[in-house]
Amino acid sequence: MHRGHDPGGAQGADAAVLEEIRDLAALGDVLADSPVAASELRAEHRLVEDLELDSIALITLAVEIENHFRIAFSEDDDASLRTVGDLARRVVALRQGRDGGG
Amino acid sequence: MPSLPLPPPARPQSSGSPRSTATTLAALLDEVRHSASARRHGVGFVDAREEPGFVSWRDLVCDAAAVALRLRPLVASAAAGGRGDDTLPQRVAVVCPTGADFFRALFGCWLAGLAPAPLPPPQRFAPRDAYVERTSRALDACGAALVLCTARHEDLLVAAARRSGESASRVLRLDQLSVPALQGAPSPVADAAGEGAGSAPLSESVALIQFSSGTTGEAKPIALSHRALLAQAELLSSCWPDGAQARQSGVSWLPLYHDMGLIGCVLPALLRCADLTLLRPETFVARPATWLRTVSDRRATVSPAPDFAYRHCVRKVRDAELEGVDLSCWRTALDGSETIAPTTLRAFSERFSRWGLRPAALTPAYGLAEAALAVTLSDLDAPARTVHFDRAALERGVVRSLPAAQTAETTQRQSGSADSVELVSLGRPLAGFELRIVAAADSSGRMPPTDAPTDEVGRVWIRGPSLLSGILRRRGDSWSLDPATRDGWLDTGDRGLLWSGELFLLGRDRDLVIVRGRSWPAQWLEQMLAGEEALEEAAVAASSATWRPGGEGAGDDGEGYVLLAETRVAEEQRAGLVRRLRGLLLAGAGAAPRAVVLVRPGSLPRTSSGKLRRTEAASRWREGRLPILYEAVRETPGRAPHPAPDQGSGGGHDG
Repeated sequence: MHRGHDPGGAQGADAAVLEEIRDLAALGDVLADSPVAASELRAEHRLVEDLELDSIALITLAVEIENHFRIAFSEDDDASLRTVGDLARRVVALRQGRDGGG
Repeated sequence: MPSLPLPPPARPQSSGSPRSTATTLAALLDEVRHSASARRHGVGFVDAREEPGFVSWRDLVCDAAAVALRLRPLVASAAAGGRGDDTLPQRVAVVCPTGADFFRALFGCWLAGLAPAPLPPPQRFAPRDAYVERTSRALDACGAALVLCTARHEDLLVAAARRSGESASRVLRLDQLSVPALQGAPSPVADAAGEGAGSAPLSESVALIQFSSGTTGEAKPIALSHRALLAQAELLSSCWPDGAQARQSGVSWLPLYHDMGLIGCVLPALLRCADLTLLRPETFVARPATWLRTVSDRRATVSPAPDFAYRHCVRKVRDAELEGVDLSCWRTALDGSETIAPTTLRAFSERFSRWGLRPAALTPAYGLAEAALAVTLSDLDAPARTVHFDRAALERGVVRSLPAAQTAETTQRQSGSADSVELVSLGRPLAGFELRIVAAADSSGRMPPTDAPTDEVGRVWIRGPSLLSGILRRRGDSWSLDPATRDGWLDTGDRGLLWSGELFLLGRDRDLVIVRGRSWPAQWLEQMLAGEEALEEAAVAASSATWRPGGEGAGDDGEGYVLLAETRVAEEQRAGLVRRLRGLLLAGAGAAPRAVVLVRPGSLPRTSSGKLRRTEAASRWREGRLPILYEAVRETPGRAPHPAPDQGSGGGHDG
């Protein structure tokens, strides 16, 4: 469902979203029990394996992201998003889908 | 067999006539549909952004009638499998997140004379394979002929139905069933509810398959009759304020597949045609302040939750999130469904009194799915009560209370002391319920069981108007109910005591640790480790769960316990941590564990609501199925030594 877009611009958007996800994670105490601090959060971090997020932290992260960006992840997203970078890319795509008036 | 004489309930709990004379839920839904207030009142849904939606009870029932009309022919054709029991209708799994579709499915089943079995939808970002596997086991356990779901989860449920042995399970989406064309049909409710004698649901037939929480094993499919559910709804209705001017408003974020969310919140609200505002559980988990703000916004009078929810609020809600909040409307904040900590009650009451929370709002209760929920309730109009008991006596099973003056000063953070144990009163039995404390020696199947002496701890047995019909079980091609009661009495498996007619619990009997005539609930031993910072979570399991006694009185007696602890400490610090843990237990209980096992955080098995499954954890360890970081075993009767336990601390686990 991806429409063609400028790869450089998309990466810029990913980076901006990643920055916002860092703020959300800090705000929601998502990383309270994680070995990784919010400021060190990187795109390649895996949610469960690297960040050691438990079910409560995962739910919190999902809800905070959906609220903040006013998007809703689909069931397929829930099942397939594994890393912080996955989240950022999906947020960008969902926002484009919404703002593009598709 | 005389039952323990108990003082009468603290207050009149069913003043006058019941709220409804319906004997089935279908009949109740029909009453609701014709009630004038069912047009004005209904279920509100608050989404994560706190934007509300609302559907009246009447509209929900009308939608459900359309679902029922579509369901009956489908189920009739699926009913090829044998029906061993007249009182056991076909089961329909209902897998819907909190929303109007859940009600359309649930009420649709009742109107069609079917038994709904609500199951959890998948959790956010959680592994899907495990969900499919767990759901397929649940479909097998209840023999679901149909699965009703929303479009979002259809694929997952098709996968679960395929994997289950119930090849007959068909998966249907609610949006395909609720056909608006039926809106104009003449009185679909009456048609559905007033079906001919063959399929008319009787009050004794099974109305709900409620899965137990599964703290001490696989979740059990508990069968509850229409009579039991309606009786429980009437009892819980006593928590709602009465009188012509009384506001009828409830708020809940509890999952609707949970007994406390479904039976505890939905049924009394339906019975009263009261407003009920629902939040999704994930909204509460992520932002607990949303719950408190919704109670305030809706001027809600009733909102129950388990103990962890009150702790979650104390920890996570920030003052800034409560601007303008006024909780003075909150008459009953039921606290039940797991061990209630005195520290939670104090911390929650003190923290939120600034926002108008009444001291009497928190109302500890005792309930279990086998009783369709509540069995005892503490005084609605008084603050929660705690009592200090003599710790040494209690460890020997003897009940001796300590005068308040003699007990150590209690603080928000601390409960009890070296000499005392502070327990929360769960109140008195609800109208029609009886309680017995049965001597420990008689809990193992010998009949008749004898009551423990009045000053002793024992196993809690109950009898009352809303007990389960049985546990659903397949025998060959037919399904039947295993009776769970004897002479009407249910052995709850909980350990407790009665003091001045009020119930106090000491945890699950199975989690009891016994060493040389002294005994501790597993939680007490776990609490002794609270000061150890390197510890994330601890589970104590009695050795009887780990080492099978060779036979009664012979060889190993199953005494003692093991400690399974989640930690993140580096490899070189693990031996030190084990020494400290052992030291704390030795100091606190005078008996060290037989084994201390360190595991990574998240390794210990938990229920879907996050409660530790201690016995399951211990048996996984014994069978070598628990990935361990470090273990120190002093005695290993009946268990082979574990070779090379250390798996290192790298991140590459479970591939």
